[in-house]
Amino acid sequence: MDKKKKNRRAFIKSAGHALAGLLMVVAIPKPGWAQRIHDIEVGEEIPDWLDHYWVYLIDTTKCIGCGACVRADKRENGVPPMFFRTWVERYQITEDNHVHVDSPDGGYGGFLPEDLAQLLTSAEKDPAGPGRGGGKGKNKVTKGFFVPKMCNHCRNTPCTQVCPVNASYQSPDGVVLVDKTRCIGCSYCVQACPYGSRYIHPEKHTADKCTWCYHRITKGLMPACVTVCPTGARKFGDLKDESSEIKKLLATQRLNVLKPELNTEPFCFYIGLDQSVR
Amino acid sequence: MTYSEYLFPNDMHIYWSLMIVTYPFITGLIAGAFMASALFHVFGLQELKPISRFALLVSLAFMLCATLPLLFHLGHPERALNVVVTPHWHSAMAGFGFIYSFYLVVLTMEIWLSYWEEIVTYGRTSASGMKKTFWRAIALGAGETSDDIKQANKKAIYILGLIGIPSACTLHGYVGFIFGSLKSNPWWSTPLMPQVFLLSAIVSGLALLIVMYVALSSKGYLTWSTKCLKTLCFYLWLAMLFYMISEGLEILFFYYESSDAWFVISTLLFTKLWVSFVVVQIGIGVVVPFTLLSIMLFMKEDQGLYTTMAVIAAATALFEVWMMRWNIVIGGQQFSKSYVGFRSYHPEWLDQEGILTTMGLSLLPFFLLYVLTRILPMREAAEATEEEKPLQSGEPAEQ
Amino acid sequence: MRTPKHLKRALWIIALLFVAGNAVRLLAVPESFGQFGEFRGAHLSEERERDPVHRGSEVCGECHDERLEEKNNGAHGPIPCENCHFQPYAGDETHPEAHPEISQSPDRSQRACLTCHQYFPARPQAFPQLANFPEHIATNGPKLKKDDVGAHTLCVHCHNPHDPKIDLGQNG
Repeated sequence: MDKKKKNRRAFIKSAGHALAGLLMVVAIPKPGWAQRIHDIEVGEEIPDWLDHYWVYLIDTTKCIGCGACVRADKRENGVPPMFFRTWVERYQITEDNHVHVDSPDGGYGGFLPEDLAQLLTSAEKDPAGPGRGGGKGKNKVTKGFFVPKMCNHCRNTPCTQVCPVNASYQSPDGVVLVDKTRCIGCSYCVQACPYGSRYIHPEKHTADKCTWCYHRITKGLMPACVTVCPTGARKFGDLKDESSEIKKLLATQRLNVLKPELNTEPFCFYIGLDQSVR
Repeated sequence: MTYSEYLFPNDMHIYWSLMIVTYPFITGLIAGAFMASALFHVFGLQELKPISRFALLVSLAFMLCATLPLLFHLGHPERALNVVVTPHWHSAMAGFGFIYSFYLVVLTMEIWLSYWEEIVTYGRTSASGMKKTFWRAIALGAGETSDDIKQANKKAIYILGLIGIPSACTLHGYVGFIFGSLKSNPWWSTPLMPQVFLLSAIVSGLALLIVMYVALSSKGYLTWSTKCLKTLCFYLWLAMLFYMISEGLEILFFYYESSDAWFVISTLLFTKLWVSFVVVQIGIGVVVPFTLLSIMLFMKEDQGLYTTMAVIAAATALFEVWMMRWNIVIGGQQFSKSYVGFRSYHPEWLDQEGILTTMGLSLLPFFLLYVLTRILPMREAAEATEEEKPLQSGEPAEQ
Repeated sequence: MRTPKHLKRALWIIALLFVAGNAVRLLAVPESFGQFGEFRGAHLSEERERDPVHRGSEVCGECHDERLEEKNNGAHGPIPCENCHFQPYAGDETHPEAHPEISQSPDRSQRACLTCHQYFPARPQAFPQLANFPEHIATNGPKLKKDDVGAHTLCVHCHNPHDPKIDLGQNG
C-alpha cells in the first residue's frame, strides 16, 4: 500500500516535470523572436540588410503627371488591371475654392482625354477643363498639381500591426512586405491602411502592395518608378549612406507626410504637399 | 473647402461583405444566449430556469458554426490555422483561435455538467449496447449522481459560468475591438465599439431566446412560465437601453467633435446609410421594440397581448442587431479612405460570400440545435412537475 | 469536499489537449520564422530573388550606343529608353534583339508626346508644354518650311524624340 502510494507520488512528480517542460516549450517562443534588428549578426546567408535603411521622397512640385511611374510599376511587378501599387492624383483648385481630384485609371495613361481630337483642333488653352467643363469664371483653376501616391512604408505601421498571422511585416531595412505564402487573405490590413495602398490580388487572393521594388533595391538598383521618372519628382535612397542625395534633401527641405494626424510615421516624404491633399 | 467626388483607385472594392456581417451576428448570439443562461446559473435568477439549459444549447449550436463565415471569407481558407501557428500578438484578430477554443471548452464543460444526471442515466438505461457505450464514454467512465456529486457539479457550473461570462464577452467584444481600433476608418474608430457590439450581442441573444421560448413552449418542448418571459423581456429592455445610450453617444460625439470623422460620417448618414441606418435600423429596429418593451414594463404578463408584443419586440430587436452589423461592416466601407468618395454595395446571390451562403449559414445553427436537442433534452425532468401554467395564446403546453 | 472523478478526468483531458495542441502548433511553425523578427525570415530572400524587369538605358546602349549618346546629350537625356520603347525588356542581357517583346517602334502619335507635354493647369509652369496645338503648328510649321500642317501632323515630323530641341534660329 505504502509502496503503491510512493510509486504514484513518483509518477505524479515525473508527470509534473514533463508537463512543466512542455509548458516551457509552449510559453517560451523561439529564440529569434526576441532578437532586435541590431542584434542580428550579418553572416554569409544574410545580405547587407542591416547596412541600409531605405527612404522615399516625392517632390510634388516637379511631377508632371505623365504616369510613367504607374506604367513602369505595372510592368515591373505584374500589378493586375484596376489595382495599383502606385498611382498619380491630379488636384485642381478652382476660384470658388472647390477641389477637383481625379486619377483616371490611377494615372496609368497620363491625364490626356480619351479623344485627342478636341485637343488637337481647339484653340482653347485647356479644353478638357477641371472636370466641370471650361475653366472660366468661378471654375477657373487657380492652383493645380499632381501628387504621386504609394505605400508610405510607415514606421508606426497600421497594416502590419493588424496582420493576424505575421504574414505582413517590416523588413530590417525598413520595407513593409507581404509573405504571400503565409497570407490568409483576411484583408484586415487593407482596411487598416489609411492610404488605400493595399489590395487583395484578384488571382492570388492574398494582400499585395508596393515593395519599393525590393528585388531591385537589394541589388543596387532604384525602384522602377524612380528609374523612369523623367523630372526627378520621385527620389529614393539609403539613410545609412552618408553621402546620399536623399539624406541631404531630407535634411534641408521642408517636408510633410500624408495624414500626419494619424501618427503612422510614413517614410515616404513629400516636398510641396498642399493641405488639400487627402 | 469642398471636394469633388474622388475614390482612391484601390478603394473600388468592398472586401468585408455579407460573411463579415454574419460572423459578428453569430458570435453575438453565442454571447447573448450564454449571458441569459448565466443569469440563472451565476446570478441565481430562478425565473429563467426553464430556458437556462436550452440557452446553453443555443450558444453551442451557434458556436459550432461561428468559424464558417470566416472560412468562406478568407482568400486562403486552407491557411486558416496560421492564425494559431504564427499568431501576431498585436493583432486583435490573432486572438480569435485562442479565445474561440477557450470558450468552446468552457461552454462544452458547462453543458456537460448541466446534463450530468441525464448522461449518467442514459449510460445505465439505454436500450442498445452502442448507445450505452456512447453515453458512458461521454461520462468519462464515471457514473456517480449522489448529492455530493450534484453539489460539486453545481459549484463547477457556477465557476464555469463565472469564467464563461468574461470569455463570452471577449469572444464577441474582440470583434468590436477589431473594428474600433482601426484609426484608418472614422466610422469604426471609437472606443465605444466593443461596448456597442457587446450590448447588441446581449440584445440579440435575449431576443432570439424570447422568440424561440414562445415558439417552443407553445408546442410543449419547453416549460412555459410567464415569469420567465417577463424576466427575459425586462433584461432585453435593459440591454436595449444601454445599447441605445452607447450608440447615441457615439454619433453625438462624432457630431459634436466635428472633426475629419464627421466630415465623412455626416455625408454617409445622409446618403448611403440614410435608409439602412437611420430609417431601418433606428426608425424600425430601435424605436419599435424599445417602445413595445417600455409599455410592457407596465403590463400584466399573463395576457396573450403581452406574449404577442414580446415576440414582435424580440423579432424587431433581432432584426435591428443584424442591421447594426450590416451598417457598421458595410457602412464603414462605403466611403473611400480619401473621405470624399463613396461607393455602393449590392450583394450577389450566388457569390461565395453571397446571399445564399449567408442564408445557409444562418439556418445551419438551427439545424445543429435540432440535432443537439435530439440527443439532449431541452428541459429538466424534474422541471415538468413544477408549477406550470399553460400558455395563454396558442396551444396549452402540457396537461 | 473531494473533487468528483469525472471532473478530475475532464481536467486531465483538457490539460492533455492543451499540451498536445500547443505541441502541434509549434511543430507547424515554419523553419525560418523568427530569424530576423516576427516573420518567416526566408521570405526576405524570396522577395529579393526576382529578376528586375527594367534594366536601364545602359543595356540598350550596348548595341545602340549612338542613339543612346544622342539621347543623353539632348533634352530627353534623363529619360530611360524604356519610357517610350515601353515594352519591358525582360530577357537576356546580351541579345535584346532576340526579344520581340521590346517594341522597336514605339508609339509615334501625338499622344506619346502630349502625355508629358500637353498643357495642364496642374503641370509645373516651368516644364515645356504645349497649350495650343493648332497654333503651335500654324506658327512653327512654316518656319520649318513644312506645308500641309494640321491636326494630323505628328510631333515627330519635326522633332527628333531622342533630341527634341529645335533651334529655330539656325533652321529658320
